[in-house]
Amino acid sequence: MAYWLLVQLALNGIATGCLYAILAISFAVIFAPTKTFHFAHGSVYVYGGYFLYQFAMEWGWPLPAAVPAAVLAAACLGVLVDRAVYTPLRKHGAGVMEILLSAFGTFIVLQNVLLLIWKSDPRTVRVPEGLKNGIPFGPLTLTPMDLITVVVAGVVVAGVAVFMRRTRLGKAMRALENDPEVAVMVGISTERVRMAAFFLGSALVAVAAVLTALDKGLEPTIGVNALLVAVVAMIVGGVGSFSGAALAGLFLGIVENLGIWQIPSEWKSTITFSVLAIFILFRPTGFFGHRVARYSE
Amino acid sequence: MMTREAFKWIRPIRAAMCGLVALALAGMVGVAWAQEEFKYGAVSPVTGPIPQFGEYFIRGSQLALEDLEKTGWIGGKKIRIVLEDGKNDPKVSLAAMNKLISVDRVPIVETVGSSVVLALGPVAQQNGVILTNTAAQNPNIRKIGNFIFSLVPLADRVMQSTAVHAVEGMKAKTAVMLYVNNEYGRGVAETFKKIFEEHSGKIIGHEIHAQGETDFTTPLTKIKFANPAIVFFVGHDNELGYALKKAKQIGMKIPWLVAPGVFTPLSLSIAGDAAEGVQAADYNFDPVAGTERMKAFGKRHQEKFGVLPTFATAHSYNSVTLYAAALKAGARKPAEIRDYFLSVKNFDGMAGPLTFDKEGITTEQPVMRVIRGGKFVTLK
Amino acid sequence: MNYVLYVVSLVGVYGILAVSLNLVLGYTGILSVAHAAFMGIGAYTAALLLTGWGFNFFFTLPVGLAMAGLVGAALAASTLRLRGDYYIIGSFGFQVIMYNVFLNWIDLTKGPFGIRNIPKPQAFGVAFDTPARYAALTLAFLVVSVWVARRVGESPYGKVLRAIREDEAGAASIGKNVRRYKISIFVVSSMLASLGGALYAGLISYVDPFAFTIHESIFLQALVIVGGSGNVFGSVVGAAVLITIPEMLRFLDVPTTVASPIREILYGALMILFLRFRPKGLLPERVSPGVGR
Repeated sequence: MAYWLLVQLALNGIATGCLYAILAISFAVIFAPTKTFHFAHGSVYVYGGYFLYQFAMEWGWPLPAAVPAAVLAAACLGVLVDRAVYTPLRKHGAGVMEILLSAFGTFIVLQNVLLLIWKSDPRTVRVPEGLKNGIPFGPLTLTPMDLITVVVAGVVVAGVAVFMRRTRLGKAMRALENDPEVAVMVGISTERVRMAAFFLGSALVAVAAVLTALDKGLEPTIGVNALLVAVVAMIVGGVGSFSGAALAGLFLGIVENLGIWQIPSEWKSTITFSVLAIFILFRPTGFFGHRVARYSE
Repeated sequence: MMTREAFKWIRPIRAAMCGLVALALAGMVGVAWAQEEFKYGAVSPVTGPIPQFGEYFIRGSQLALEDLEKTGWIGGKKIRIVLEDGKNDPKVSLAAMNKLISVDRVPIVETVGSSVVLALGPVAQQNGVILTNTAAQNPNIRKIGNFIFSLVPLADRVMQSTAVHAVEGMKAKTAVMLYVNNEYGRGVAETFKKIFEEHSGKIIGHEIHAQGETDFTTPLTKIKFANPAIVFFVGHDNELGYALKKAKQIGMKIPWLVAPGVFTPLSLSIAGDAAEGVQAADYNFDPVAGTERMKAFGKRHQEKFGVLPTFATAHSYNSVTLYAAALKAGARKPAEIRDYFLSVKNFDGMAGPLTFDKEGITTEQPVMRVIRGGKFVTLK
Repeated sequence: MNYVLYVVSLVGVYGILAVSLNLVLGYTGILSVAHAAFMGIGAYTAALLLTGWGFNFFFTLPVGLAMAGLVGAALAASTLRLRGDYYIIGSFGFQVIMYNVFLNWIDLTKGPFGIRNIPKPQAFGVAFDTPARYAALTLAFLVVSVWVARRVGESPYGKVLRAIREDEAGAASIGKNVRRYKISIFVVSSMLASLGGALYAGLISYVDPFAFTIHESIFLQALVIVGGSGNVFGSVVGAAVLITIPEMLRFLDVPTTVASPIREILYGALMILFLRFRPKGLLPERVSPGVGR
C-alpha cells in the first residue's frame, strides 16, 4: 500500500517538476543573454497570475482570450521593468551591484503595488468543468491540470530550443550570451535582443503563473518561492544550458515530492535549498554547465 | 559621475527629510492630546494571510455603530473605532497595540487570532487594558489574566464534545489531523488528540499546512493513502475551502470533521459541492436558520455587503455593543469595564445569550452541523 | 511619548543593522542579501538564552556575536570565491536556508509559533524595562557600533576595503590578501548585525521567523543606499529617515489596508531613485579627490 503512495508522489512530482522547468527556462532566458539577475522576475510571475484573474474573473473574459492577454501583459511588464529601471541605470554607468540592488527595490515596489490593487486575499480562477476533477487510475489519480502542465512544459522546452537554434533572434541571444563584444561587432543590436529576452522570459513566467492560478490559486506571496526555484534549477542545470535548466526543474520537482514520503511535508522547500547548497558547494557548474560563466565586475 | 553642481540639490532634500522626520515625531505626540470621543481599539488582520477576518471585524463593528447611532450615543459622545492592521503577525500586532495604548489611549482592544491574543494578552494585562477575543481558541488564553475576555469558548472545553462526536457520532476509530501551522492550529489539534485518544480513538498521522495555503496536494495525497476513518481539520475558513476542493479532485472519499469556527460561508463559496457531507462543530450563530434576531442580522448584512455574516462578524458586533453597554452603565476606566463584563448575565448578543464565566470566557457551547445541499444543517 | 521612545529604539536597532551592512556593502562592495539571517541569529540566540536558560541579556551578546561571526566566516569563506552572480545566489540561498531553519527546526526555535515574553535586559539592578531606558540602551549600543565601524572604516584597513571595492584585481596586485580582508570584514559585519538582532528581540519581546526574511534584507539594503554607502553616519540617517517618515502615514487618514503597502513602496522607490540619481546616498562618503564612482 505504501508503494502506491510513492508512485502517486512521483506523479505529483513530475507535474510539479514540469512547472519548475518552465520557471527555470523563463529566468534563464533573461539571465543568459543579459547577465541581469532580474530579481523582480518573481513579481512578474505573480502579476501574470493576477492579470489572468483580473481578465477572466473580474472582467469575465473567456479563458482562450484571458490567458494570452495575461501572458502578453506580463511580457510587457517585464520589458517595462528593464526599460524603466535597469537600462537607465546601466546607461548611467551603474555597476552590477547597483543593478542588483535596483532589482530588489523594484521587487518591493511591484509587490506592494499588487497589494494595493488586489489586496492580500487568495484568488482563484475558475477552471472549466471538464478540467476540474481528477481521473482515477486505480488507487492513483491524475488531474487534468497535471497533464496540461506536462504538455505545456514540453511545448515550451521544445519551442525555446527551436527558437534558440533556428531563429535569428534566438541565435543573436546566444551570441550575446557567449561573447558580447563580438556580438556587437557583428552588428547585433544589443538593445533589441535585451528587450526580446525580457519579453520572452516574462511571457514564459506568466505561462507558469497561469498554470498555477488554474491549478492551485494565487496569493501575493508566491513570487519569492517561484524565483528561488527558478534560480536553483538554473544553477543545478548549469548556467547557459536551457535544457539543463528544464531538466533540473523536473529533477527538483520529483525530489521535493519524493522527499516528503518520509519527511514531514512542511520541510518540502528546505529540500530544494539543500539541493542548491550541495550543488553550489560541490558542483557549481551544475548538470551541463561546462564553464563557470565569466562576468566582468 | 556626480559633478559639483549636482550636490546643490541634495541640500533641500536633506532639509525636507529632516522636516518630515520632525513632523512625524511631533505627530506621534500630538495625537495623544485629542480625546473627544470614546475610543474602541482593534488590532485586526486587515492584510496578511487571513484578511477576511479583518473584513469580519470591519463589517461587524460598522453594523454595531449604525445601531448605536439609532439608539443614541452615551452622553452625546460617539464611539470611535481605531483600527490597526496586525496582519495576524504577533510582532506587527505588538507594535500596533503599543501605539493604541500609548498614543490613542484606548481602554479596550479587540483582536483575533490565537498567536496574536497570546502575544498581546500580557501587554494588555500589564497595562490594565481590556482585550476582547472574537475567535481565537488556544487554551493557553485562559491563563493570561483577568483583563482578557473571549467571546468564543476555548478549545479545551469545546473539543470535548467534538471529539466525542467523532467517536460516537461518526464512529471513527482512526483519524488524521490536518492543521494550520500556528498557535491556533496546534492548540486545537493537540486538545482534540488528547480527548480523542482518551475515548480510544487513534491519531494515525498529522499534516501541517501554512496560513493562507491554497495548494493542499501534498498533505492530502499522504492522507488519502493513510486511509483514516476521518480527517480532522483545524485552520481558517479560506484554507478549508481549498482543502475540500482538492480532496474532491484527487478522489478522496474520507469523511471530514472540522473544528469549531472554521466552516463559514466563505469556505462554502470556495469549495462548492466538495463541501457536501462535511461535518463541522460550530457556534450558535446561524444567520440563515437561527433566531429571528440572527436572521434579521443575516439579511441586513447580505443586503449591505453581498455575503452572509460569520460568527466572527457577530462577535465583533457583540464586543462593540458590550463596550457601549458598559459605558452606558457608567464604566469608564478599563477596570470598571471589566467588572461590568463579568457582571453581565445572558447579555442579548447577536450570537445568542452571552455570559462570561469568572475567567472571562463565554459559557456558550458548540453545536454540530453538517453540510447538506449547500446549507448548514444543525444536527441534534 | 512612550510611542516616540519606541520609535527611537527602533531607529537605534536598525541604525546598528544598517551600519553592519554598510561595512560590507558600502565600504567593501560585497552585496549581501543575507543580513536578515545574521540579525535572526542574534535575535534567536538572545531570545532562547533569555527565556530558556535565564541568561542575563548582556551575557547572551558574546554568544550571539560568536555564533554570527562563525557562521559569517563560514559563509564568506565558501561563497566569496564564487564569481559575481554566483556569489549573489550563494548569499540568497543562505538567507533562505537560515529562514527555513528558523521556521522548521521547531524543537530549537519554536518555528512559526515564535518565542514570546522575552524579558527586558537588566544589569546591576537596573532593569531596562521602560521605553525611555530601552531607548537609552539602544542608543548607547548604537554609539558604540558607530564608533567601532568608523575605526574600522576610516583606518588603513578601511582604505584597503575601499580599494577592493573599486578594483579588486588592483588591490590583489599590490600584494593585499583580498580574501582575508573580505572574510574578516564579513565577520565584523555579521557580528554587528547579530547585536542589532539581540536588541530587536529585547525591544519587541517576541521573535519569530517571519521577521528575518529576504524582505528584511532588502529593507536593510535600502537603509544603506538611501543613507549613504561608505559613510557610517549615513547609515544612522538612513535608518532615521526610512523608519520615522513612513510612521507619518499613520497620522494622515490613510486606510489601514493601504498604509503598509504604501510604506513599503516608499522605501522601495526611494531605493531605486537614490540608486539612479544619488548613489552616494544622503550623506556621501568622504573620499579623497580623484576617486570616482
